[in-house]
Parts: sequence; structure tokens; C-alpha cells
Amino acid sequence: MKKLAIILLAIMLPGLATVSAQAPRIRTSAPVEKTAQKGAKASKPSAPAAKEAAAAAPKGGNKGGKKGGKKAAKAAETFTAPSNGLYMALKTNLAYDAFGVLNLAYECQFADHWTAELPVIWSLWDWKETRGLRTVALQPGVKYWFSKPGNGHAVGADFDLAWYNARWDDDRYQSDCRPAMGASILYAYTLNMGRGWKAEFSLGVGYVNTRYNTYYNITDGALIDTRTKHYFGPTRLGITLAYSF
Amino acid sequence: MKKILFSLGLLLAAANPYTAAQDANIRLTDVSLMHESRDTPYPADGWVESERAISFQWPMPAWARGKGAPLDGMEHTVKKVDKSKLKYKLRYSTDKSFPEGNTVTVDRIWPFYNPEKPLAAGTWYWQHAFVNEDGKEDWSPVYTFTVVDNPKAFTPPSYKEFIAKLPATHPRILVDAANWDDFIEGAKDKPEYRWYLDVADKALVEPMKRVEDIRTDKVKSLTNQQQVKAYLTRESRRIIDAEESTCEALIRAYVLTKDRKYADEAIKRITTMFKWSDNPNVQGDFNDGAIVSLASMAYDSFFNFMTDDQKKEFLAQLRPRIAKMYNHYNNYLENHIAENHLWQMNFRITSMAVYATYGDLPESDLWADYCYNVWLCRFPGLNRDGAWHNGDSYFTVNTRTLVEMPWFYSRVTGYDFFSDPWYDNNTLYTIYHCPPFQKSAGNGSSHQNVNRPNSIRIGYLDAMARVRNNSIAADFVRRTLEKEPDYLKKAHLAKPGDLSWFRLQCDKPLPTGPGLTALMSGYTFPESGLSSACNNWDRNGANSMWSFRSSPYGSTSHAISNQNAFNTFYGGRPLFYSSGHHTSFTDLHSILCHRASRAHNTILPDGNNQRIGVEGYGWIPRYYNSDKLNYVVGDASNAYGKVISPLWLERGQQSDVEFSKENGWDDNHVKKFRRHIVDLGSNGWILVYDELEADQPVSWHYLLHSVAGPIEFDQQENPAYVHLNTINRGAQADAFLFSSGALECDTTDQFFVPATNWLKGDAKGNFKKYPNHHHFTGKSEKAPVYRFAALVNSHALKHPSVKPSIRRDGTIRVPGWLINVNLTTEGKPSFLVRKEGEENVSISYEGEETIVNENGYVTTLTDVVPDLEI
Repeated sequence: MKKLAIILLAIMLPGLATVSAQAPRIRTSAPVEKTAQKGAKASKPSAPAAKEAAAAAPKGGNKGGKKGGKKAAKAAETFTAPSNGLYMALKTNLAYDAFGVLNLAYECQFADHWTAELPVIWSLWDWKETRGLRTVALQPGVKYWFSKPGNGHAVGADFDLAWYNARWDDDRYQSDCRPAMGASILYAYTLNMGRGWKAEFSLGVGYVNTRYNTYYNITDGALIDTRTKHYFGPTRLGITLAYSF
Repeated sequence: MKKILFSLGLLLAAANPYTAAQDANIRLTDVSLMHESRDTPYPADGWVESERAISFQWPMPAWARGKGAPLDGMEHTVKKVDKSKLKYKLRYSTDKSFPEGNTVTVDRIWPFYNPEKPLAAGTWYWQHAFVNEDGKEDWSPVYTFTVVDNPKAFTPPSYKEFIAKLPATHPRILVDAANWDDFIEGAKDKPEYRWYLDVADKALVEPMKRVEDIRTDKVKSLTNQQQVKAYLTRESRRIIDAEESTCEALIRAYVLTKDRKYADEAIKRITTMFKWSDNPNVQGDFNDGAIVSLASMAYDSFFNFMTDDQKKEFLAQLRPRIAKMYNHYNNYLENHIAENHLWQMNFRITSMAVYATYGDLPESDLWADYCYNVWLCRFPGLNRDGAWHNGDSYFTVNTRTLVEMPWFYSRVTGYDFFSDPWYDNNTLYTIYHCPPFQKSAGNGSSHQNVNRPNSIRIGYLDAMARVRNNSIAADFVRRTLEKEPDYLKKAHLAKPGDLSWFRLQCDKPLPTGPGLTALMSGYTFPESGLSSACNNWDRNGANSMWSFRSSPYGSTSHAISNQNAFNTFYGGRPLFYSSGHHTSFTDLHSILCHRASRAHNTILPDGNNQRIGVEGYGWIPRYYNSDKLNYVVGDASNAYGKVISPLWLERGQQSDVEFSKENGWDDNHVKKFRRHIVDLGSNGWILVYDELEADQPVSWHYLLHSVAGPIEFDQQENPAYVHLNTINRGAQADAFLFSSGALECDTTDQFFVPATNWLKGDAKGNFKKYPNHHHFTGKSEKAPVYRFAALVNSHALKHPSVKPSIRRDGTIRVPGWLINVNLTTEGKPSFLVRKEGEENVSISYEGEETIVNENGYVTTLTDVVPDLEI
């Protein structure tokens, strides 16, 4: 009988300890014994474990940010390909950099007056607690240069793709299951500054379609709503520093 | 061993969440859960005490239960009770046969007794007796209670210990003579030091107020004696309170500097005020309090240099006034549900005056014994959950009492009186029911005036942060002072709430640590019947909040008649919110349009109000607050019917207010009114589900009010619901009201009785006009059973609300949540609220238990009656 009691205690005490350790923070009119873990499947992560996992994993748009970070790094590696005599340049848009939105573009000539460009834009941090833009965006496009690539006036078109998670005061906006997508036309003017350095000024306008969630801008802020937006207007503003090979 | 196994078996059974629930719903049938004068013994039979020392309290004989003046100025109408005939006996023992040698028996002249030492852990038995003039003892039944061993229990020292430690020297109240110089040295660097001196220096060169300046010009336009008394009380307080503040500053300036010029000026002014009581325009018990406060403070502070004649004069002024107060309080205050005026100010003033003059008046011991022991047995909170049943406006008038009394007792005895668990609970109430920069939760008369936590409230939180090392309260204070560094100064010399002197005395730092964001979003105070939740503690401008009341206190004192009523807010702005104005305690508009249920977001059967008085009660049988979910149930099944409270009927009679059928009080037909509020994961949405039953078909009137923008409604948008909305600057609330049948809807911006401000004028005699409010009524067809479900979204105006979508199977969807409700009048009331995409977050109810599933943890809620006293 004594052994049975000890066995029962041995079974119960860890179980009770587990319940008290894993239970969510609750204050309720129900007696303590009226809260218990449902099912208690061994394979299921416990509540605190789940919470820890949630805390460790990037939340919401952060996932996009992390993925984007890897892609950007990979893209940056490909930009180190050697020059073959055609116009090639590595570029960064200072207007974006100024706001902590880092970006790097690789531009490469593929015909007499034509270049193709792949800008990769990323921002993985907030400006302050209540404001920030986390994004990974791609704007692949082509340009037609009226004189020669990398010099003077050009017009072009590009395709826009962006994952974002932006917070501003009360609200946080996050692209839904698909990225924002759009297309633009652009005008650019490039100045030579010598020794391969160039300054490019560009303006793009176009259409962007995005489906996004709005959340309360607090930790684990609840979803307010989901909306779709059709945007017509500026899509690119460039004050770009380029180095040509 | 068998016992062990049996206990283990019981424990296992209790731990099983799927044990079938018995009597999930409790239907109370009491006429009232609480009483204007104690009707129940404490500790009640079966009571288990683990938090604090036992204090025995019992009801007085029915004939002796004075109810005090029904209204200010109507003291002459009160039946006099010969208190010399009140004698009691008490005995308690660990043996129910009360054997000699193991029984304590005490004779009492008051209906309470605090044992000198904490009772040992274990089972105790007790009973009390009333002893009549012939010496016959009328004993109560024997009650039993259990004391649980808890080394941290609140067990303050006995009166004997306290009075032995009370300094024999003066000053002893504002400062202890033994530490006077150190106090001055420590105070010099604090801003409050200068505040007092600035006021005092100004007083030295300015004339004092004149009692002849009390305005009486409006008296001729008032229609009844009660209005005249209330008006003159207010106007005389305007003069007396101002002079009281000035004299207080002079006395305290002397204590801060030992400069006689302040003391001489104070004595001159106070002796002038002694004569003011002869003026017929001086009305109200607070004015006696002012004289007692100033005279005792001066007596104690200036004792060391006052002449014998001056001391005699001051004692001669004090003694009859203190005697009058004691005679009024004893065998009344301690058994009263909540005697506002005495509790908020006069009891503190009396206590301090008694201690200031202790040893110099023949009745000192009697009075000091009474004051100290009443504090131990009833105060500070009158209940345990910490909420203030009189609401957010009248809470702050108790501030000095709540802080200065325990501070003084702690200083004298060395025991921490703030370790009373009530204080931590009350700090939570103070935070939850008026979050930073937010409108008050909307309970109690005059709550409309509480647009944000005022400087008194912030001062109180500052004090609690320091004495309780409460970093959350400190965070609240810091957030406020960050925006307005001088905010605390606004309360300087405010009669009921200035804690400047406390801050001069208290050197404990404002603690750091977890702040407001460490709080759960919601909290429930079941004894007071209050619940509320915020979804953003960090940024008040984006905070969506709701509050709810269903209270055993009913509607007495300053508590309004809003059982099962809710309020909603966004960004601190009230949206669907209680209406009406508190002109005066029993003004016609105040009763019919501010206190009465028609002013609140609740339901009226056939348009009839809930009862005024403790008989119009509600209660909270279930609640669940966590980081993710908030749920509360209110039961107002007993709230309706004709007003039967003798006190309120008398008040109505004296104020020309009829609790008649025409004014909305009639026979009760309600059998059941339960309101469930489910907070949908703090996203700004709540589900309000109502179960209604009557003993005959009645029309159920669903009320929503707004004190800012109009309420618009649309019945065409979707046949399934009525869409209502109201806007208050950048905030908006949308309500989607589903019901068992079609509703006849109407809105108005007119009160049932217009609001006329005849009382609250400024110093120039200007009376601010009260604005109209907006009222929506949705009337059902007559039915004995009815159900409503309202989905209410409180949000920023810039984010128009999504409309609920209704699927073919009847499931209602709002962002992130799926809801099923039984709106038909058939079958059991039920709802199922699920988080979309998360199978482990849901709340369900099918007329019996409520099952809350949070992250796979299932809580089964059945009704629990809160522990109530009195």
C-alpha cells in the first residue's frame, strides 16, 4: 500500500508541476483544478515551449526579412562576375540608404542601347520602437539609353516585387500571403564623375497591387483587417551612386 | 494510509477537467447581497481566513440600525438612537462548547472586536450577543471559521501596542518631534517644500476669506429644501475650503521652517474661523471637519509655544466637535455599507484630531480606541478585491485617507500598514479603471468628469509605487510626468487628495522594473462586480478598451444603476458610454437620467429601470482573464422592479423624485438576464451575448448611449443585424446588433428629463450648461425569451470597421474569429467563439459551463458566488 501511494505521488507530482509550469497566465473565477491540459499528447509542444519557439522565430514579416537577407547575400555574390567589355555597374540608391533601406543593383548591357538591371532592396530593422520598415524588394527592369549605356538620358520599364512589414505609430502593415507586385516605367539621367563613378537620377511611376494585413502595432498585436490596394503613382525615386567596370 | 489514498483519489478526481459539472448555474434569490447596515456576521460561518487577522463584526439590533442622514443637510430628519443602551458580548474558542479556560469572552459597546493577538491557525467557534437593559443576553448562533497559517498575513498591532507607542511629545501628527530637524533637512530639496512656502508667503500678505461672501443669490429660485441645503453646502464649502487650504499651508510652512510668522498667521485665521459656525449660511458636515482638521493640526504643531489660554481655546473648540463626531460614528459607521462622507475625509480628520489631542481630553482613550480599531476592522477598502464600488470619480476623494492613515500608523507602530493586501489590489483597480491618459471606465456618479487620471490619482499611484515597491504603478506615473512634469502640483492643497506632505515624508524611491506592458489585458474584481480590458497598455492613443459592471453593491451611495452595462473606448475616448449628468446627489435629472438604468448600455424590460438601492444588484458568476482572452459574465436577474429601499424612497421624497411607473419603475417580470462579454483576442472586437427570460412576454429595450457624437443606425445594410456607429474625434465604435427578431429602432439627443445645472456654479456665479447626450433604443417584440448578440468594434476612425460576414451555416466572421450564437428563442442559449486558424483558442457555452480553450489548456467555468461581507 505504501508503495502504491508513492507511485501515485510520483505520477501526480510531476504532472501537477508540469501543469502549473505550462499553463497560460490566467486569472479566473474557476478553481485551479478546473484548468487542465487538453489531450496532453506527448508529441505536442508544451505551452511555454510553443511560446519560446514563437519568440525565437521571427514574427510575421520578419520571416520575409530573413529570407530576403539570404537572397540578397546570394545576389551580391553573383555581382562579382568579371567584366567582359560591356557596360556593367554596381549601384546603390543613396535616397533609400539614407532611410536605412539598403540596396544594391547590378546593371549589365545586353545590346547597343539596352541594359538590364536587378536592384535588390532590403531593410531588416526598425527606425524606432513604433516606426520602421522591414522589406525585401526586387525591381528587375530594362533601360534604353539614348546615347550609350551608362551615359545621359534613358527610359525603361521594370517589374516590382516587394515583401514588407512596416510599422507606423498605431498600426503595422504586412504584405499578406503574396508580395506586392507592380510594373513601372522610368526615366533616368546619368552623370559621369570620373574613374568609373557615376551619379544616376531616376524617377519611376507605375501600378502596384498589394494585399496586406493591418495589425495593432504592439507585440503580438492583433489583426485589424485585411485589404487589397491598387496603387498608381511613383514607384521609384533614385539618387544613385554607381561604379562601372 | 487509507486516508492518504482517499485524499489522493479526491485530488485526482478534482484535477480531471472533464468531471461532470454540477449546478453550473446558480440562481440567487436574495433580496440584496449586501446591506446598508450590516446584516451578516463576519467572519461568516465556514469562513476560511488566510490573508489577515480575524476581526469580529456583527449586526446591531434592528432598532439601532441608524441609516444616517438620507441626504446632506437633512440630519434633523434622522431618528435618534440611544447608543448608551447598546451593549454586546462576544466569545470565541477553539472548542464549540466554549469551556472556561479555553474561551475568550469580552464585553463591548461597539459591534466589533479585534483580538489583541492574531488567532492561531485552526478551527475556531464564535458567537455574539446583544445585552439588553435588564442584562439579558440574546446570543447569536455559533459560527465557525478556520484560520490558515500564513506568516505573511496582515496582522497589525493591537490598540494597546499602538497607543503605547504614540509619542507623548508634540508635534506628533505632521511630523514626529524626535525627527523634526531631520525631516526639515530632508524636505528642503524636494519641490513640495517650496510649494507650501509659496502659498504661505502669499497668505501673509493677503486678507482671509469672509464667511459673509458665501453666495446665496440662487436660493430664491430653488424649489425644495434639499436643493437649498445642497446649494448652501456647496457655496459655503467654496469659502471654507479655500481658507482651510491657506491655513493648512501656513501650518505646514511652520513645520517646515519653525518660523513663527506662519504659525501666528495660522492661529489668527483659525480663531476667526471658530466663529463662522454661527453663520446660518454655513452648511454641511465637511465644514465641521475643516475646523477640527485645522484646530487639531495647529494645536499639535504649535503646542510647544502656544499659551495656556490658546490651548484651552483650541481644546474647547475641538472637544464638542470631536464628541459630536464620535457620537455620530459609533454603532453606525463600522456597520454601514460605505459611509462616504465619513469614510473619505471626516473619519481621518477625527482620528488625527483624537491622536493630536490624546492625553489632553478626558475622552481620549475611548475615542482613540474606537478610531484605531474601526480602521483595523473595516478600512481601508470595505472589501478585498480592491475595486472602489463608488466608481472612478469618488474614488479620488478618499486619497488622503487611504495614504495618510496607514502612513501614520506605520510610523508610530513600525508595522507596515500598506502590507494590507487590499492596497496591491486597489492599485490594480486604479490602473485598470482609468489607464494612462484615458477616460475613466465609467462607473459611479460624476464619472463623466474623469476624462483622464487626474493629478490626485497620479499622486496616489506614485505613493503606491513607493510604499509597495510597485514598478507598474511607477511606470504609470513616469509616463504621465514625462508629458507633464508638473502634473502632481495640480493637486497641491486639494482637500481630499493632496499627497505633497506624504512625498515630503517618504524617501522611498520610485521603483524600476516591469511596467504597464507586463499587465494582462483584462482584470476582474468579482466582489465589486467590475471588469475591464485594454488592448494596448503601451500607447494609449491606440488603445481599445471596454468596461463592464454587474455589482452586488447595487445602486446605492454613488454607485449607479448600471447592472450588466458595458462601455467602450478607443484612444481613451468614450464611444458607447453611459450618459447623463451628476448635478447633485438626488437631483431629478441625476436620478432619472444619470443614476437610472436608462442612462446606461444595458437592457430594460418594457422600458423599466433596475431598482435603486442595494436591492437592484447584479453579480459576476464567471470570469476569465489571460494574456490572450478575456471573458466575463454578469447576472442582473434580480436587478429589476419597483424601488423598495427605505433609504432611497426617503431620499426621493425629500428631493421630489418619484420612483413611479411613469418614471420607469414597475413590477418585475425578469427571471433571467445574463450578459456574456467575450473579448476577441484584444483586437478591438467584443461579443456581447444576452440571455433574457421573463415570466410574461415583455419588450426588451436594448440601449446604447454616446456622450460625444450622435449614434447612427442602419437596418437595411444586412437583414441579419442592425449596424450602429458613433464617432468621438479620431475614435469610432461600430456595433452589429443581432437579435431573435426584428427591432424597432430609434435615436434621440434628448434626455428623459433635461439637465439643468442649478448647483455647480463658479466663483462668479456662472453655471455651466450641460450638453445633451445621444441615446439609441432597439425594442424587441414582446417575448418571454429573447437573445441578443452584439459585435462591437472600437477602433480608430481611420480604420473603418470590417462588417461581419455571415456564412451559409450561420457562422459569423470578423477579422480572425468565427462565431456561432443561438439567437433563436428555442433551445439553450449558446455560443462558440473560435480563433480562425487556431484550433486551440476558443470559448464555448451551451447554457451550462463555459469552456475556455487557450493553447490547449481547457478551463471549465461554472458559477462562483464571490465572498461578500456586510
